[in-house]
Amino acid sequence: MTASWGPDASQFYKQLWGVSPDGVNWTWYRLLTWTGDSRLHEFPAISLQAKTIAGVRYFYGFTEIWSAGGIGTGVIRLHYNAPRARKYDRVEVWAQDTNRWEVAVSDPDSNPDGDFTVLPKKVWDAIVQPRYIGNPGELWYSRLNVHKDCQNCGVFSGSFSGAADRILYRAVTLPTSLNSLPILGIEYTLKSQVRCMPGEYEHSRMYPQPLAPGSTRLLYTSVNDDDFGGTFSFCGNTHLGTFGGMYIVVTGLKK
Amino acid sequence: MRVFGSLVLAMFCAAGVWAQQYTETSGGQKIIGTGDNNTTYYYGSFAYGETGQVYMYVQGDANLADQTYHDQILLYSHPNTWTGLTTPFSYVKRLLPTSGFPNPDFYGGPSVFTYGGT
Repeated sequence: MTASWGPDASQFYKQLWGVSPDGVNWTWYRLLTWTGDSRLHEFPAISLQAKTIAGVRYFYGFTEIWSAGGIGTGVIRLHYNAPRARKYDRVEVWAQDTNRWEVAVSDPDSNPDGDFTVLPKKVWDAIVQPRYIGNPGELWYSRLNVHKDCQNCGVFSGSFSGAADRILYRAVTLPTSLNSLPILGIEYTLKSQVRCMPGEYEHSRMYPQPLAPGSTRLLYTSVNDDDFGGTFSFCGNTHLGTFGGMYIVVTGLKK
Repeated sequence: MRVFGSLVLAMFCAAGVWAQQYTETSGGQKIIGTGDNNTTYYYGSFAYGETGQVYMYVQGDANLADQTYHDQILLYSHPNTWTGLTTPFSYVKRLLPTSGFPNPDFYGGPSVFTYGGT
């Protein structure tokens, strides 16, 4: 498991790595620590899957990147090593400066904080909260600040044009070469018959996480539709703030 | 690790081929949190399916008392009957912070995965 970690609520330049035998009990390590200017570059979300590229096994996936130029997503891979307690022995990113895979952490046992200075490239702009689904490959993500009119949407009424979120997804085709990037397919916007899509306010639908138990396809997301009475006002209603009162919902997906 | 990984592989195999065009057609109920901005604060999540259980790893806080450092990683679970669209998940334990990571703020939502069979 990965989780971002920062010293306060505004800086997230560290990544933690959890290893578990059962999904309940976890041993935590430090995966990455950005040693550059944390005000300029942060990597708040990583989503990986176990993959084999050109015969080499990796934990492979995507990382959200915050920078002065905006939010986007890049790629990251951890070279698999089963005997190691961490289960990996090398971290690589697609680098901004060289536009190719570069080693960010060469040996985590000798660099337990995962200090690195290789700046990952923001390969795809405006993709935030990436969630990599491994089989078959799909990348689910959010797009923030999608402007919309909230008339005829859920509990809200009246005209509105402001920040809102939508959920999107694209197929992922892994490269056959160790030196290449994955390819993302056509971008689709999730449609909804049960909740507003996009939502009516900033961060209204966040962190899409699909799960496919057999023939049932479910989507877990963060929502804040029911939280009113606070200080922010969207569509004539108010709520406490960006995250206050948020809760998790599950919806069924059908094609 | 082997048991966990094997179960995940079974889940993936059962998933079949995902279609490209999806529509939310059911559900939308709260499963974790109340929507009350005075008491709950949950965002970011990862659902993880097994034969007998669904795990939900959630970033959030249960009381808003420490919003300056509000984030924790919490584990909830639900029996995997796949009728869980209306049934709340049950709290299991707090995974983060631990004693090794004091005074934290966690962000981005947990991301869970496995290397099958390892």
